[in-house]
Amino acid sequence: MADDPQRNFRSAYYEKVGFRGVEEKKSLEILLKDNPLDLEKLSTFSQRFPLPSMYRIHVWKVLLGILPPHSDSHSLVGGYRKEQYQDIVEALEVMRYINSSTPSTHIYLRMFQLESQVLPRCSETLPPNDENEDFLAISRAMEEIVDDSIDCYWLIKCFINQFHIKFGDSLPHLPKSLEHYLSQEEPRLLNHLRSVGALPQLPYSLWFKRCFAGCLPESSLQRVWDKVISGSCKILVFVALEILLSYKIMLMGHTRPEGVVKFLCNIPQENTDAIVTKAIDLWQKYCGNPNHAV
Amino acid sequence: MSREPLSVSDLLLCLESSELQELERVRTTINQQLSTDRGGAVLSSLVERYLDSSSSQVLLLLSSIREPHHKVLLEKLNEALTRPGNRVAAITLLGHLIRKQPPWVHHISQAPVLPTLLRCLKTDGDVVVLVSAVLVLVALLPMIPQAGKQHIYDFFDVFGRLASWSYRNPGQVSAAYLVHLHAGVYSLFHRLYGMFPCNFVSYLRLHYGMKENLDTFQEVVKPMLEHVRIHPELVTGTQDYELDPSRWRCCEVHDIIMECCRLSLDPLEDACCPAPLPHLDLSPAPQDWQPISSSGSSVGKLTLSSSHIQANDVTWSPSSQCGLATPPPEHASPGPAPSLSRCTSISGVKCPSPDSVPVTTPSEGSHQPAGVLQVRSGVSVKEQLEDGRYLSSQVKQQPIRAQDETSLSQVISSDLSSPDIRLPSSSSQFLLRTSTASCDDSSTDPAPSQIDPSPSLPGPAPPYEPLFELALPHAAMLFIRRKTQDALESAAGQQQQVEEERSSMSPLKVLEQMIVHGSDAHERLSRRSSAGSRLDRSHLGGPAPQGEELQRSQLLLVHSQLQYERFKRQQHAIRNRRLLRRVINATALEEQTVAMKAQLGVQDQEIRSLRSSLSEEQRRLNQLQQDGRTQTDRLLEQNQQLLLQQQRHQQDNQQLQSDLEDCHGRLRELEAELQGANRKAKHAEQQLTQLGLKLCSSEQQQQQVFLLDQQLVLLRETNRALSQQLDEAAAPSWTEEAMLRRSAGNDFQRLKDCDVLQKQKLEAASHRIAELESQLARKDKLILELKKLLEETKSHSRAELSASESRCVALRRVSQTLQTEMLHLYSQVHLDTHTGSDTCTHSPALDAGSRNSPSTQDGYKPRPSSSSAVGIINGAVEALSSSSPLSASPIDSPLAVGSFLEQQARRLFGPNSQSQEEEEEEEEVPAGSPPLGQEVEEATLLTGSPQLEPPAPAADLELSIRQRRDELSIMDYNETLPEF
Repeated sequence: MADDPQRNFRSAYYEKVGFRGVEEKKSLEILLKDNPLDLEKLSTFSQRFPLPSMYRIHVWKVLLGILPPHSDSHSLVGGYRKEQYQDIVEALEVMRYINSSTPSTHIYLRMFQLESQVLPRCSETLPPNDENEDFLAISRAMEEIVDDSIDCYWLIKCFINQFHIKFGDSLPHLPKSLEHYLSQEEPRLLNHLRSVGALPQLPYSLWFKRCFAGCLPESSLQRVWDKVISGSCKILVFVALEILLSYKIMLMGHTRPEGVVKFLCNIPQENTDAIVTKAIDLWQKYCGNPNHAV
Repeated sequence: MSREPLSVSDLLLCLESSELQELERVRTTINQQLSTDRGGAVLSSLVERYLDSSSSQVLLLLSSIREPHHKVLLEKLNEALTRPGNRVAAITLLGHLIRKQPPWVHHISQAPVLPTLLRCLKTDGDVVVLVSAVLVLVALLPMIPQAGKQHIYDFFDVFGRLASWSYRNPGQVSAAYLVHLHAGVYSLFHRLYGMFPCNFVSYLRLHYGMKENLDTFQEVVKPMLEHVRIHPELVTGTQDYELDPSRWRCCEVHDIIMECCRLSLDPLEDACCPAPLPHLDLSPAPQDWQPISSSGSSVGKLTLSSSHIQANDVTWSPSSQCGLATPPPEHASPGPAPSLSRCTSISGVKCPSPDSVPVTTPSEGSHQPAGVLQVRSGVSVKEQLEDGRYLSSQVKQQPIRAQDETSLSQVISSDLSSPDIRLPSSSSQFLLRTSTASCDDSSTDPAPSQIDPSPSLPGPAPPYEPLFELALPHAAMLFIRRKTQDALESAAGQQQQVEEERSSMSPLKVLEQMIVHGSDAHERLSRRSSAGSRLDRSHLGGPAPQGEELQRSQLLLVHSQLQYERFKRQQHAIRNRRLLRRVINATALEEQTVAMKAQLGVQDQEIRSLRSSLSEEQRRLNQLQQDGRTQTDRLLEQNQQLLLQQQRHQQDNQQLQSDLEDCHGRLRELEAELQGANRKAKHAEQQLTQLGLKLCSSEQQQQQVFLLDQQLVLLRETNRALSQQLDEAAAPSWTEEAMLRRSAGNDFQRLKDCDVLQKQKLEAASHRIAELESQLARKDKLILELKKLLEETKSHSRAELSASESRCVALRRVSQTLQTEMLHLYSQVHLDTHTGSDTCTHSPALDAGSRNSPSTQDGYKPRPSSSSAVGIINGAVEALSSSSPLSASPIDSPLAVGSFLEQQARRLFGPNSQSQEEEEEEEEVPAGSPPLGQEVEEATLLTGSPQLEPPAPAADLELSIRQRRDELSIMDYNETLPEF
């Protein structure tokens, strides 16, 4: 990529003077022009640079396998996806799981359950459990990001599936890793949390199972999800770490674990962009070359 | 302290001792005590002592009092003044102190002494007190000019009282006292008029405007007014400005006194200062001199004209040249030097020449030398005039005196007849003004002191004269000359006395006359009667009713007058010293100027000589230049001639050269000819040698020819013999050999052709090989491309396929769900149809057990079956075996997994085992104890109730993992293709 003669020779200096993302859009366009899309390169790019919002959905779809690498078959596959969606929706309607007044997130949940063959009977509908709540939170966030309902459903489904497949094993280790990095960055805070007893009660499910859906506003969230979709779950640890560091003073003020948890579940939405930026910097600092970070 | 007063009084007694050493010692001890004195006890005792004894030693001590003790002294004096008994002594002491001018003298203006003194003057009736007090006041006034602000009207009142007192004489004192008093009032008048003219004049106007005072004015004040000129302040000043202390700030005491003197027309009051300005004073001068000049020589006219010139020249003044700082311009002393220079500038004659005139004619007459003097300086003329007036006034006083004292007038008139006495008196007056030495000794007995020096006066030499002589030779000579002329003139002046009788008599003059004649009478009387009784002397003071008392008081008056005069003289001396210094400076400057002028002249001379030499040099230069020019012309001419000669020579030279060239050319031709001849000779010689050589070689050749001929013959013979031999030998062998050789050549040819052919074939073959190889490579590439394309297409299609697959799966899920739903609905329908059934839970179980109705169990079945199917596909049975016991189903047909039909078929078989097991389980459940919580849970687990979710997603995950892996292993050709 660096040897590409088409690249602007100034690009080497843009980053030095603080302009980020000048060349990224162009290089992404070049990447997207390849006929069989190179998934490796795309994921590397997504890890290293922030995605331009106009290409985000497309890249996500490709990375999540909703669209095949061959752009020729995009329309065909898109058609399949659409039909599948419609079939399932129709079936659900027929079975009266959903009607016109059902909120779209619940439609997605039912569809997902149907596809996963865990659809409960109509008569046995239970209050949604944790997993369903996670799904609903993610779908709510995704609905904000994506306009089209078909795309939205597919993105939700594939995101959740891929997340479970890829990082299902490492999820239980994330709290440990958070503790480790916190001890490196701010041992006092860690001691405080430990002494207060809030450490085991931190909202890990909110952070690591829902991937901060419902915790961060969507504008910041999609930048985190860029990294998650492109193959890193460590970023979640660093976002959590950065949240802890940013609100260190408030957290130090709380002496009861409930207060800490309550505050962390409802963090202020103002400077989340800065938090995410810092978290990404921290992530790149600790995980070195993001190519190999998983 | 108790001892000290005693000791002080003792010491004071000791002061009178005559031993000088003792005196000195006592004085130092008293001084020490004075300096340590706190309460002023010593001082007061000193004052008391003086008041008692009028001791001169005590006076000396008191006059050296320092600053902090003056208050006590002044208080003490004030006290003494209030006591009438001590008043005279106190005033005398005060006068002494003031005349010493101690540094604290200005404090008197604030001290109570001054008002007390003024009160005395206003109230006292004793003439002695009044006279001495007024003289003290007159001396004090210039020292405390600022006191005028407060006491000005006191001063005026004193003046008014004394004036009227002196006129009306209420105390009926003797005329001699009145003369003294009059003199004192006169001095006061001058002082007040000089210092405060506006106020004083307004006072006079007020006071003497009253009727009752008119006679006093007529008799006393008006004559005084005749002796003063109008004060400039009357024109420019105001009453307030006069009293302003700042007006006196830059003036010294003698300055103020001079200021007062300047306004006086009285030569006695005026002293040596002929104050009137030239143009004012000179106006009467022509009047005086007119007859003289008309009667006298032509010199008088000259003086007149020069004096007129000087009179007109108002702007010029000697003081402006001398640079005097203090206001009163001094005309007398600095006058001669500048006027001298003026005279030279006017007349154009050098200084010595007019000097020589008076030297030769001092004895000639009275007027001519004066004229000469006037040529030199207008100021000296003025002085002469004054002297003249003085003389006339002296003469004129006679009638007045005659009125007063008849006995004295006789003496005076007899004296006047002889010029011998006049001369000393006039010069004694001069002495009073200027000398310092002669008066100092006479403090104890003043009356003789004034008369004693008179015999020694014919050649009076005031102490400044040697100084003058040192500083100003010309002025000194003039001065001496003028004085001798004064003496001469005094005799001549008597002739004019009648004409001069117009101004009133000065009181001072009267007083002086009185003293003089008193002393004369005294002398005559004492000469007449050597026994000299006391009563004889009484005529001095007139009728002398009180005798000695009167004389003593008169003596006191004279003494105080003397003291006053001495004070004035001291002030004048101070002033004179200062003026002398300026004169010296001015003279030095003058001399410097003269020297500079001389230098200038010398330099002018030098310049002139230099200029003349310059012109001489220029002339010589011109001559030299002319010479040079003529020489140049001559040389140029010569040069031209030479040039012509040279040209001629050059022409000759050229001609000669051309001749020379001709000669050279001919010579060259001749040489060439010579060379040609030489060459020919050489050639011939060479030919000769060659011919010689040829001759030699031809001879050798002839010999060789001969030899060769012989050899030829010999060889011919040999040849003939050999050919004969050869003909005899055979000739058949060479044909076979030729045939062999030809066949070999043919073979060789054929082989060569063959080789060429083979080479060509090889080339063609290799070419073909290359072609084929490239084709192969192309084909390989093509194949690779095709493979890649195939891969792409494969992945492409696989992606599409996976999409469609997922769709199929989804459809299957949908259909399964639908079926489940349907079955559910069926079961509900069955429930409705089976009336009276025991339990709804058992009936489906039983139904499921029967083979005919497998669909009843479908609600539970599809999930396990599908999961098992997936598990079979993946070959990861063990992962699922724990969660689903049904995974170990007997139907394992990997080939049929993907197809829907096969699934259906398998589903047909599947229920058998499942249902069997379920039956078994269900049989177990009722067979067992009533359901425990654990068993119920197990049962629910087994039946795949909605709680049994984890397996299903897990299976699904497995599937997708598989798919993912397949996607990633696209490029792996060796691996067998996936099942789908």
